[in-house]
Amino acid sequence: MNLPLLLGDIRATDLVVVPLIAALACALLPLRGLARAIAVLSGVLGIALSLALAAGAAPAGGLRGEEQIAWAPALGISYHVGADGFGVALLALGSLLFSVGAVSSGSARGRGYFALWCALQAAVSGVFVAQDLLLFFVFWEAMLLPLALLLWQWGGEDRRSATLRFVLYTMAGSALLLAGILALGIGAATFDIVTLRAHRLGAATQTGLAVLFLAAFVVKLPLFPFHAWLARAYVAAPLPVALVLSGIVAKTAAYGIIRLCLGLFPLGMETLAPGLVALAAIGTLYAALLATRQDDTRRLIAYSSLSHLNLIGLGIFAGSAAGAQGALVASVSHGLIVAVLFLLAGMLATRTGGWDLGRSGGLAGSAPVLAACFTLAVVATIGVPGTSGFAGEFLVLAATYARYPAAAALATLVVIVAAVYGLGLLRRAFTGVPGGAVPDLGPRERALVLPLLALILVLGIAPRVVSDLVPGGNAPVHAADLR
Amino acid sequence: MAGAALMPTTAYLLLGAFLFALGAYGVVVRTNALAMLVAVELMLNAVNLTFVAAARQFGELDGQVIAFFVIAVAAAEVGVGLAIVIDVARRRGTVDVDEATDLRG
Amino acid sequence: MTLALVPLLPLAGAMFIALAGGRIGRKTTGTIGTLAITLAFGAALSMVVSVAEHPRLAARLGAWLPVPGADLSLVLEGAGLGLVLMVTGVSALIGLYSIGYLPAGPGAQRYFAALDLFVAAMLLVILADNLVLLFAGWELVGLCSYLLIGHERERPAAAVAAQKAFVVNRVGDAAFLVGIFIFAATARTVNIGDLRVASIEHLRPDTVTPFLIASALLLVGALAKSAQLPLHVWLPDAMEGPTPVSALIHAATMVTAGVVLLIRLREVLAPEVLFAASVAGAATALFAALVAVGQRDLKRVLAWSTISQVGLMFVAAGLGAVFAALFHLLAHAFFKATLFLGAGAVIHATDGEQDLTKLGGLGRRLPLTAATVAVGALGLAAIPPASGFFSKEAIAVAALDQPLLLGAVLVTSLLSAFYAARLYTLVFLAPARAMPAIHRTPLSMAAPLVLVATAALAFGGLVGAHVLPLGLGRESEAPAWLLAASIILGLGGATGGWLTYRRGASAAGAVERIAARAAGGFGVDRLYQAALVEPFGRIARGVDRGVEAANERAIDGFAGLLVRGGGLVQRLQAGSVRGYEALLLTGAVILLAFWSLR
Repeated sequence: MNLPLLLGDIRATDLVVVPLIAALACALLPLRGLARAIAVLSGVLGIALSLALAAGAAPAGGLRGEEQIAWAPALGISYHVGADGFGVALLALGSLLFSVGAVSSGSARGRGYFALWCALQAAVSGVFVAQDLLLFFVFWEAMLLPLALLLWQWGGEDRRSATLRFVLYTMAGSALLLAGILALGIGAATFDIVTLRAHRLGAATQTGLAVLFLAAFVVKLPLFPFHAWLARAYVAAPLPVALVLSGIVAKTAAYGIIRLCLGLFPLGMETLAPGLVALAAIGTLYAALLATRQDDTRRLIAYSSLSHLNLIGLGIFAGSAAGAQGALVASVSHGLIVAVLFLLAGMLATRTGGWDLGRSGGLAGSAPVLAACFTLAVVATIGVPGTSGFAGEFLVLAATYARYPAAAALATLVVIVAAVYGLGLLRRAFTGVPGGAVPDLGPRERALVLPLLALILVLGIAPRVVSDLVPGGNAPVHAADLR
Repeated sequence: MAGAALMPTTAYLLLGAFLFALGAYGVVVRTNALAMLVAVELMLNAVNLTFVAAARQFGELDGQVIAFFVIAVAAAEVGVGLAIVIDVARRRGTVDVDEATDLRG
Repeated sequence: MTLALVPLLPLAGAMFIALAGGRIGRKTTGTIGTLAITLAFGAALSMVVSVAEHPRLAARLGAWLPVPGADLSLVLEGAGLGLVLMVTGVSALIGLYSIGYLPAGPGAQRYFAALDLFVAAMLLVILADNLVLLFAGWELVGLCSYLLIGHERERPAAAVAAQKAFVVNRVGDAAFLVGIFIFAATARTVNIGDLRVASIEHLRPDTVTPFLIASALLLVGALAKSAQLPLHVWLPDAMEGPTPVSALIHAATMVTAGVVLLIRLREVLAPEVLFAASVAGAATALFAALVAVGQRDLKRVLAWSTISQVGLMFVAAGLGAVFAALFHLLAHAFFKATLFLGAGAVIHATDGEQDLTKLGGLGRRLPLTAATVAVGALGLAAIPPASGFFSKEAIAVAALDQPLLLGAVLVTSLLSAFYAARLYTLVFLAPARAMPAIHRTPLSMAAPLVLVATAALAFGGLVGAHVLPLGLGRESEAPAWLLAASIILGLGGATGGWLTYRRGASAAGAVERIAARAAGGFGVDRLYQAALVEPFGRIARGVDRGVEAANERAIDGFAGLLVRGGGLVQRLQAGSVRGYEALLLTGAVILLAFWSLR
C-alpha cells in the first residue's frame, strides 16, 4: 500500500485531527449544502488512515502511529497516542460506520448536526488511540456531549426522556471511572497506560480499581442488567445515530475493558470474572429472549444488538487472549451487521410508513431485493457459517468454553432463540399475502447496503484479516503477562 | 535604615489578617455594591500587605512581584466591577445587591 | 485440486445465480444451476481412478478461523466418493426436473441459488476435514432447507414450516456446537483425523469423559438434522416446500447428513453413544412406519417413510456396520428420489392434488409415472430386485446379534411394504375418481424420473452382486433364513396393502380407521407445542413484562432520584451575592481550621 508514501508517516493523531477539522469546517464555514459531504469525507479519510495504519506490521511495543508529547510531566500526564491491534481494527470499523451513517443522514439536516457528527467521530477515534488515562477520559466524556445533543435535538418522540436517562446513567458510570483513574494515576505518579501496564498492583487493589473502571464500561456496553437505557435510546435516536451508537460507541466500552481492565488489572479481573461471565451469558440469552417479543423493528434490532454485545462481553470477561480475539471479530462483525440491519429497517419503514412489524407482510413479492438483503443480514445476525456473525460467535464461545464451560454452554443456547426472533422478523415482514406493492431498493440504497453485506461475507470466509491483528491463545491474560 | 529597629513581621501579619477580616465582614453585611467593591479592595490589599511582609522576612522578591500583580489585577477588577455596577444602577435605579437575584437557580 | 472443485462449483453456481439470476430467464437460470451440479458430478467422477490409488485425498484452500485445525480443508476418504457421486448425481437430476416443475415467475433465481448452495453445503458435510467446517456445511444445509421449504412465500403455512424446520435444526446445532467446544478444549484440535487419534486416549469404557459428553451432544445434532426421535417434528411439515425440494431434502442433501456424520466420526464418538444412536434409530424406524400407514397426504406418507428409513440407517451406523448404513443410504436416495419425483409428476398432472383418498386410477393415464413409482415402491417395500431389498438385508444382518433391534428392523420392513403398497394402490390402481384434466409430464421432468428410477432398480443388485464396490468391506452375508423371512415379510406386507386398498380408501374399513389414529404422529407435535413452544412464549412474555419492566423502572427511579437531588442543591443557588460570599467564607474558615488543627 503506497498510501503512507502519499501522506507521509501516518500518525494515530491524524484519526482524531481529521474529524475534528471536519467538525470545525461544518460548524464555521457557511457551506450548508456541503456539510454532509464533509462528514462523509471525514469518515472515508478515517477509513484510509486506519487501513494504512493496519497495513504495516506492528512496531515493537505494539502501538501503531505512536506519538508522545509531554503535557504535565510533574503529574505524569502526557499526550500519548497510538493504536494497538484492537484499536486499529475498531478505528477502521468506526470510520466506515461514520461514513455510512453520514451518507444515510438526510442531506437536509443542518450544519450543526454534521458538526456534532464529526465531533463524535473524533471523540470515538480518540478513545481508541489514547494511551494516557486522563486523555482517555477526556475523549470518553467528549463522546457523550455530541451524542446527547444529537439525540436531544434530532431524535424521535421520546427523545428528551431517553436522552436524560442515557446521560445520567452513563455519567454515573463515568464518575466512578474518573475516581478510579485518579486513584490509580496519583498512586503510581503516572497516567501513562503503557507504563502502567508494567506496574503490578496488589490483587485487592486491582479488584477495587477494576470495579471502578468497569462501572463506566458495563453501562456503555451495556452489560446485562445495566442496559435499561438502551432500547429507549435506540428507538428515540435518529437512525444514523442509533447505527453508530450500537455499531461503534458500544465498542469503545469493549475496547476499554480489554485495554484498561484486562491490561492494567488482570488479577482483579480474574477475581471478578465468574460473576461477569455469568452476567454476560445470561444477558446474551435474556436479550435474545426479549427480541422474540418485539413488534417494533428498531426495538427488535436493539435487543438483538444487546444480545450480541453481551456475547462480546462474554469473550472479554473469559480473560484469555483467544476470548479477546473472538470479541474483536465479533465486534467488527456486529458493527457491520447492525449497520446493515438499521439501514434496511429504515428502508423498510419508509415503505410501510412505520416501524411496526404488524404493518408490513408479504413484501417479498414486490421488493425481492430488499427481502434478499434483509434475509442475508438476518442470516448473519443469527450466526450462520459463511458470515462474519458465525466467526465471531464461534470464537467467543469456544474461547469461553475453554475457561468457563457452563457459561459458554448456556450462552450457546442463544443460537436457538436467535433463530426464533430472526426468522420471525423475516416471516412477519416478507411472507404471507402481500398487502400492497412497495418499490424495491433503488440504486442508491443498494450502493449503501450491498458493500456492507459483501464485507460481512468476506469476513465470514477470511476472519483472520481481523483476528491476526491481535494475539490468540487460551491461556489467561495475566499468565501471559507475568511470563 | 541600618540599625533602625524594624517592626516584627508578626505585626504586619496581624494587621493583614485584621484588614482581611474587616473586608470580608464588609462584603457580607453591606448591600451596597459600591461598598462591597471597596471591601473587596480592602481584602486584596490585606493580602498584598501579607505578601510584602513575607518578602521582607525571607529576603526574596517573589512576594513583592505578586503584590504588583495583585494591584494590576485589582485595577482591572475595579474597572469591570464598576462598569457592571453602573449598568445595574441604570437598569434598576439601585445598587442594592439583594435586589439583584436574577441568577436564582 | 479436483477435490476442491467439487464443492466450489455448486457454490460458484449459487453465487452467480444470486447475483445475475434476475436478468436471465427461468430456463437459463435452471440450466446454469443444474450445470454447476453436473460439473461437480463430473469432477467427482474424474477422481474415481485416483481414489483407487490413493485412499485418502486432501485439499487445503486456506486458513479460516484462529482455532487449531479449523482450516478450509477438504479430505476424501473411505466411502466419501460414493456419497459425493450420489449427492451430485441425484441433485443434478432434481435440478433438471425442477426446470420443468417450477411455475413461471421470478422465484427461479432464489430457488436455484438455494439449490446449488444446498448441494455445496452437503458436499462440505461429506468432505470437510475438521468439525468446524463440517458444522458450517451442516448449518448451511439447514439454512438452505429453510429457504427452499419457504420458497412459496405468499403461503403462510410454508413460512411457518420453514421456520419450524430451521429452529428445530438449531436445537441440534446448539448441541453440536457445544460438542465441538468440548472436543476443541479437550484435544486442542478440531481436525477429524487428529480427533480419531485423540479419542483413543480420551475415551475410557464405563467412565464419563469429556469425549463421551461431546459424542452425546453430536448425536443430538445428528438426530435433529436427520429427523429422528425426538427431534423429527420438522420433517413432515417440510412438505410445504415444492416437491423437488422434498426430493432433495429426503434423498440427497439433508436428512442423511446425520448418518454421514455418524459414519465419518465412528472412530471419534464413544461406543455407548453409537449404540444409543442405534436404539434411537430403531425406535424412530418403528414409530415413523406406524405413523406413515395412517397418512392421507401423498407427500406426508413419503415424509414419514423417510424418517423411518433413516432410522434404519442409524441402526446400522450405530452398530458400526458402515457398509450397510452407506448401502442403505445410497439405495434409499435413489428410490426415495424416484418416489418424490414421481409424486411430483402426479401432483403436477392433477393440478396439485395430494390427497390419497381423492386420487386413483392414474395407472392408465400416467403409465410412465406409474412404472417409475412402482420401482420406487418396490425399493421402499424391500422386494427384490429393487435396491432397497439388498440394503435392508445388509442392515438386518448387521443387527443379527441384537434381537430387539433386529425385530424392530423386520417389523419396520413389514410396515414399509404395507404402506408402500397402500400408496401405490390408492394412487394408481384404485378405482378412478372424477379428475380434472391431466397434464402431460414434460420431458425435463420425465427424463430425470426415468434415470433415477433406473438407478434405483439397478444399484442394489449391482452392489449386492459385488459389481459396484462402495469402497468398504461388507460386514457379512445374510443367512438363508433371514433372506427368506425378508422376502416373505416384504411380499406379505405389500400384498396386504394391495388387498386392503384395491377398492379405495373408503372400502378399507377397519384398517383405515385404526391407521388414522396413528396419523397424528401420536401427538408428539402437540406435546411439544404445549410443553416447549408455549412455555417459551410465556417465559419471554414474563421476562419482558417482569424483569425488563422492573429494570426500566429502576433506571427511571434512579433518574428521578438525581432530578430530586438536583432540586435540593438548587435551593442553595438563591441568587444572593452576599449569601454566596458568606458560604465561601465559611468554607474557607473550615478548611483553614482543618489544616491548622491537624
